[in-house]
Amino acid sequence: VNWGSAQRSAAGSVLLALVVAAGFGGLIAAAAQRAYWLAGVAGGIALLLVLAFAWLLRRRVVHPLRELARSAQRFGRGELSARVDVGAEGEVGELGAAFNEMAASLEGALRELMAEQDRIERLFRFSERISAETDVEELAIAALDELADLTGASVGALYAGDGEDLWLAAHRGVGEHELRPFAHSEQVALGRPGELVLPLRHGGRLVGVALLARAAGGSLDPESVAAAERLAGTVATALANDLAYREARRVADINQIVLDSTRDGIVMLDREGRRVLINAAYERLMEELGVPDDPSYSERLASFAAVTTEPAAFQAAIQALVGDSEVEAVSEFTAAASGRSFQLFSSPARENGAYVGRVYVLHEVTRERESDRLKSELLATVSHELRTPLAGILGFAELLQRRELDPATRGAYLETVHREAQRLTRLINDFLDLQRIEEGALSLALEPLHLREVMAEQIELHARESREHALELVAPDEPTEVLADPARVAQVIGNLLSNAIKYAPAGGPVRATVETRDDVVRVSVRDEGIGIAEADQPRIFEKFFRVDSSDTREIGGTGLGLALSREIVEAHGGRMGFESTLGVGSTFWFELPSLASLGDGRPRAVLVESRESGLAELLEEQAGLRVDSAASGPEALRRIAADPPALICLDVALPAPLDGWELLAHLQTRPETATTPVVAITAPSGARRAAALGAASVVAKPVERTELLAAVQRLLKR
Amino acid sequence: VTRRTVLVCDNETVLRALVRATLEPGYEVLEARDGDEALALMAERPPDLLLLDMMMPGRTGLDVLAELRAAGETLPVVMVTARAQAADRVRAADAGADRFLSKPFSPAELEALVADLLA
Repeated sequence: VNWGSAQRSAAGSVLLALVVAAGFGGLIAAAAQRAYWLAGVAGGIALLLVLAFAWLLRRRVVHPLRELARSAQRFGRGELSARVDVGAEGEVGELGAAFNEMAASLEGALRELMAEQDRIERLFRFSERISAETDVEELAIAALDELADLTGASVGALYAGDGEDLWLAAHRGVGEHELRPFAHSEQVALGRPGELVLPLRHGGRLVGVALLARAAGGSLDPESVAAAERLAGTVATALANDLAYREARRVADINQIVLDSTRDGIVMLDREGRRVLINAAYERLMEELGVPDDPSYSERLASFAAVTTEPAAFQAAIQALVGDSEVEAVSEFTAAASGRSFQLFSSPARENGAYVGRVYVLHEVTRERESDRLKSELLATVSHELRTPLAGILGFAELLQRRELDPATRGAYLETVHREAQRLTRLINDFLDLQRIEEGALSLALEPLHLREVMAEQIELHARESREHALELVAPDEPTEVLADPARVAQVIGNLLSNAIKYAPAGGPVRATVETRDDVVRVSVRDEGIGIAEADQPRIFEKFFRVDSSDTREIGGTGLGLALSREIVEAHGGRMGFESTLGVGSTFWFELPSLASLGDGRPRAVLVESRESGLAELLEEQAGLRVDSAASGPEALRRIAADPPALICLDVALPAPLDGWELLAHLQTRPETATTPVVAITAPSGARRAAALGAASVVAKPVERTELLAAVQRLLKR
Repeated sequence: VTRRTVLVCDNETVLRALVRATLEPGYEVLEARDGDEALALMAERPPDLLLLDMMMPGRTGLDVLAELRAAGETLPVVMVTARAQAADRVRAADAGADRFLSKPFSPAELEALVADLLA
């Protein structure tokens, strides 16, 4: 029931009461009819007056008040546009007008408040969303979307980084190829008329730039620009956090990568022996050594000690370090099962000066120990090899000096002294040669020469050594030219021929072959001598190794010939080998790259520059390079793909498409060119960017020729 | 008077020749080129003294000496070596060598050593 219907029923019952009263009057006696008539008329008039008043009351007061109440209710329900139709005059009318005035002012204030609340809520939701976002790209996309919504921009880009180096983190409504992937803060632009450039600053530092524009062009609405500027601070803070987070993560990643890429095992234990840090190599070494991953430090140490050759000493040495905040120590041990040798370094770890535990580094020295062992063995062997001829020389010299000898004996002794002195000289020469080669200090005087000719000369020389051997040369009529040191090649060939003669004591044919096979010239020498037992074959190139176990000195030689020959061949980029059957004979061979296969021997470089600058001539003449020039990015790629160069020189000022920066970035991403060194030639301001994009060396314009040559030579040496 | 016999076991021809030149004609000198040859020769004609090279291909002087001593052979043995390290002297003594001679040696020193051992 509402107010209106309640009033209507009240008015109805008044009317009914008057009708009943009128009817009742008609039934009264006629005598009193006039009086009653008068009374009836008066009653009717009164009734009409009452009715009129009721109608007026209803029209002027009840109805407007009801309207007012209804409007107030609507307003209260949030219908802010609710107003009263002010038809009434007087007090009720004034009341209505006052209500309307109040409602209008309330409406304005409320609408503003609600809009502000919307903005705050939106900002709050946005801040919440982006501060939870740890990925820079995701954050950039969200921020760009929000800024675009706010300003009504349909085109936008967001660069992140610091002002020196900004990179494109997000873009919308514009193709990536239209934007620079990297830029300085002064270079960022969408290239649209009226675009808004919004620097994102955090703590006074530029952490990014947002760019916004209408697709159709024209400036953005100033009010929304102001809103976007207000939002910029929030975006900048989140961006700075994400960049810092990314950097921290990168540093942490790098630390882990470094730790896990080292071959040394690294473990850090706190003061109680708990593991704080362990790298992959340490875990792998523990597994290889068979040390179980016991739960407690003392058990682990005992298990570790147990795999060494001296468990008690190892355990004592390590135990002594526990809790020692000063001592740096290294202990060496050998794994009992595998014989591998290790050094365990231990040093105290400090955090802000306080001792927090120990870092242990497990470093394998098996190879070093093996090399030490070989070295001392070699030294003993060399000593032995030198002392033997020396004993002959000194001994016979003393006999010659001290004894009265007949001329024949004197002659024989003198000959022995001479022979042993020659042997000693040969030994010293071979040994020093070998040392030089092993240290990489042997310089080869390379020149084009025909191996067939060298072989022919050597055969002539060796044919005089023996009458029992028939030295034969088989060499098809084809070029056998190689790039080699003639004296060294003669030494190798001479060695093979003299071995063939020595190890075929019964004589027989020695056949030398020189032939070209694909890219190599192959020289082989076959004898029908004693051959090499299979068990001895793997050791044949070892220093001082000799085939038969006894009396080899009758065969002569230093025991270094084959070792030296192989080293010489390998120093020429060739290889050496043999096939042999005991009692049947041996074939020793070596191969050197043919001259034809070497090209002209100069390293090739691709020079990329849009304008001829004389650098090609410089590189050809001064750096000894074979230079291919390319005038554009696409041409450079074609030339590089056709024949991978040793070096790329790139002047980054190239025309689009594929400008110098893009080419540089592209070269780094392709596996076949990623390792090819690039010398970038750029204005000084581009140096950082070129280095960041992977240039191995950066030469600033204007090009200082000596600087460019130095860079090229340094890179070619790598 | 029968001459005393000295067996020299060395894979180096020049060393065997030097020993022979030094000791003949005062002693009879027998030569062996390796351990196996020395052992075979000793079974046939036991010498009065053995000059044994320590570093030979195949069986080393130490191996040969150890085998001789294990078989109860008591003849004087001089270990000859081109390695002059103290450790080698110790190993030679441990294996049962009476003397140690390092290369290069003086013929006079060898003469004195042999005379001393066979006195």
